[in-house]
Amino acid sequence: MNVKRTNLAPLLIALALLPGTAWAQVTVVNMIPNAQSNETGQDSEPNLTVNPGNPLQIAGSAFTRNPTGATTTAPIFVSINGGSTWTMNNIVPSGNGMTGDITLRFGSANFLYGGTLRGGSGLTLNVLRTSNFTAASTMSLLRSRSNVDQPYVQTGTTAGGLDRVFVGDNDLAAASGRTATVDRTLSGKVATPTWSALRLEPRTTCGQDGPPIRTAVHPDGTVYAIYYRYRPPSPCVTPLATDVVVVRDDNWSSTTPTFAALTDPGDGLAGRIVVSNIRVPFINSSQSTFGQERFVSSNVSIAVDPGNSSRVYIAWADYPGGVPPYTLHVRRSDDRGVTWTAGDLITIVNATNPALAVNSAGKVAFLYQLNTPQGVPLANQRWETHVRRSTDLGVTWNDMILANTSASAPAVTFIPYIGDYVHIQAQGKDFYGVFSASNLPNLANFPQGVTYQRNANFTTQQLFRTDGVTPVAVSIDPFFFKIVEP
Amino acid sequence: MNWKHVRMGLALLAILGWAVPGRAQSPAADPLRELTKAADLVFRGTVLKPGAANLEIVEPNDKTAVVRVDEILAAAGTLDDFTGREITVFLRDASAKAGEQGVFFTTVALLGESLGVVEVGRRGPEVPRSQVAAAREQLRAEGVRARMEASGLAVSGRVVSVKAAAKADGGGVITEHDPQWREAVVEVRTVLRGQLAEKTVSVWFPGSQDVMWAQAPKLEAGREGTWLLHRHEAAGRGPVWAVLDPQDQLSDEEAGIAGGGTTP
Repeated sequence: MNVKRTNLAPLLIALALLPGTAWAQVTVVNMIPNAQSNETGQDSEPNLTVNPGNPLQIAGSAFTRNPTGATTTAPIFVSINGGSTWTMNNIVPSGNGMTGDITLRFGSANFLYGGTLRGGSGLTLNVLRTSNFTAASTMSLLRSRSNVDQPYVQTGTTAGGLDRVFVGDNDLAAASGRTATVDRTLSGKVATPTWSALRLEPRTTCGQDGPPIRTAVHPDGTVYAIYYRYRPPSPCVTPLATDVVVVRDDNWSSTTPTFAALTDPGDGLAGRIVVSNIRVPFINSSQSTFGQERFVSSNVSIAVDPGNSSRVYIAWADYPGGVPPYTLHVRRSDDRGVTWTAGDLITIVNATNPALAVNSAGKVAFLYQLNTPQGVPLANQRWETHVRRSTDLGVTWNDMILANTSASAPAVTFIPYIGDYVHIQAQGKDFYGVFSASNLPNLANFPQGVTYQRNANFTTQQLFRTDGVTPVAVSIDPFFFKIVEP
Repeated sequence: MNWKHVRMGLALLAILGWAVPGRAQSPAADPLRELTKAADLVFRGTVLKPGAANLEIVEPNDKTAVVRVDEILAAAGTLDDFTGREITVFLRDASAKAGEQGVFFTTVALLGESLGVVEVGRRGPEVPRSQVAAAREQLRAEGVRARMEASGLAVSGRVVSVKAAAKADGGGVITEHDPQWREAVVEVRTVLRGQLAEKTVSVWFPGSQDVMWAQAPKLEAGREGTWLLHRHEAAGRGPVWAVLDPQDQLSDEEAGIAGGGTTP
């Protein structure tokens, strides 16, 4: 029961009203394969990567359990047809059949890299690699160390074909509470890559930096990173007094000092403080006032224009003035991070999971998930997944809703409910991304249309096991999307 | 003495003894047991198309075959029922012939429009379901005993109170993966492993609902059970007894396998 449904009316209206959307082809696919039609897991916090050498090859991840009960491996999602269909491949080393935080990124020559907190091993960072992501062989372990949080992988490839691999992470064992870190190798494809833990934080903190450290890599060797600096004094308390800091390296971080090319005019230290002393909440429990999601200060994003390494966009989340609602902000720099737009290019209230990407034409895309309506009981709340795109450097934005799903069904089984992050990337002129949402097969929930591989009946709005008749409860699934630009 | 558990354990062992042929052999010498141990999907099947595959991402070769699942003999986890469906088998060798029947011992590698399973061994189609089931039960019992042996203290009893543990572990670090330790006092009825002089024991467990800890046992006041406890170094507190792995909270049946024990 492979179902492709498209509700054309909203799409046509959008096309008519939003010039930036004209002729873009949008594909949304539920990534759970047919053989997993019975699954009811909370497949949240997804990630995605497109093979730059072959965009038909795409890999994804989520908090997805190995359905065989095996504890030694956990699955990733793989596609070899541009995301039209997906297969789960149990190749991530694990101790409990799941991963902790996980991100994936292709390098060159079909090499796929992964950063994960090894399932069943707490805050143990594993950096992984495979040269054949559809093979059954378990990914090989390139690096392992403890006390690390939220590994987020990016790659770049030199003109000579060397894979530079950057794993942004929060190294909670770093000295003096300066925990923002990038684990980096300059040659990812060799048998045993050499790794360095590059410290980003030159300033004092309240004891640590925030969990998310994200990088953006340009082919000319420019590498940016963004992180939340938690300001002194100690102890760190919510809402956290925070600076949003951007660092830059101009040569793949291959020479010391690394990530020191950008300094702040206030103190002369490495790292431009883009906004200072904002308040970021850290409330690590499911919030009925926010679609069952939590606030764990994990929402920064950065993207560099592939046609101009001086142009970079950032996004972050905070409590403006120290109070709700959780609010997303986007800004831009055109001079390598030295100066930034004075105000937000766009501000989104009561939303989470900001993610940015810039395509080969300089069009910027902003993916996020909006909890709406604000202030209503949980039963009436929705999660709207939006992609906004701008062709004029963020002055004006169109708006495309990929999903509008219940925020109350299913009930949360663990946190994060939909994830502490999502992902979007550009491949040439096109955008590819992933988000997690309730999988109720209701066409009205997916304004751009949707394809399910798992057994679903959109008329009765029911899910079924592989037998096609036994009902299955709704759950959180990962959804792939692709926007083919004109 | 928890006689309910003892009786269940004896009954299970009796079943295993009757059901497993060649029980005089050492477990490691039983090839069917070893195959069952290595497999997470065991099925009776018929080879339909040697050299073929029915998963798009699989390139067919002489070591792949499309096989019809005639009967599931053992399946682990939450795998759906694939009886009657065709799946792709990565064969150990290229010897499969169309129409050939057998019992396939496999691990599940791929889940797409169908299954892709890796053959770890094959036996003739005459292997009875009961033989595989008995091997799995034996393995499960061995697993429970091994887990108990690996624990520092194993107790049966009742949770009398639960409170937040003193905030020491982690030293105030802010992470979404904070275990949010909680401390339960368990009134011990039986000690299955280790030494315990007192009639109660303090047990730490992660109270967090974060993905890293959500599966960990959550002890609640009034709950009866059996737990396999491990030493955990809590910063500023020293070693405490803790339970983290969901497999360390035993079902009644597993507790029966674990055996009798002593009264503290």
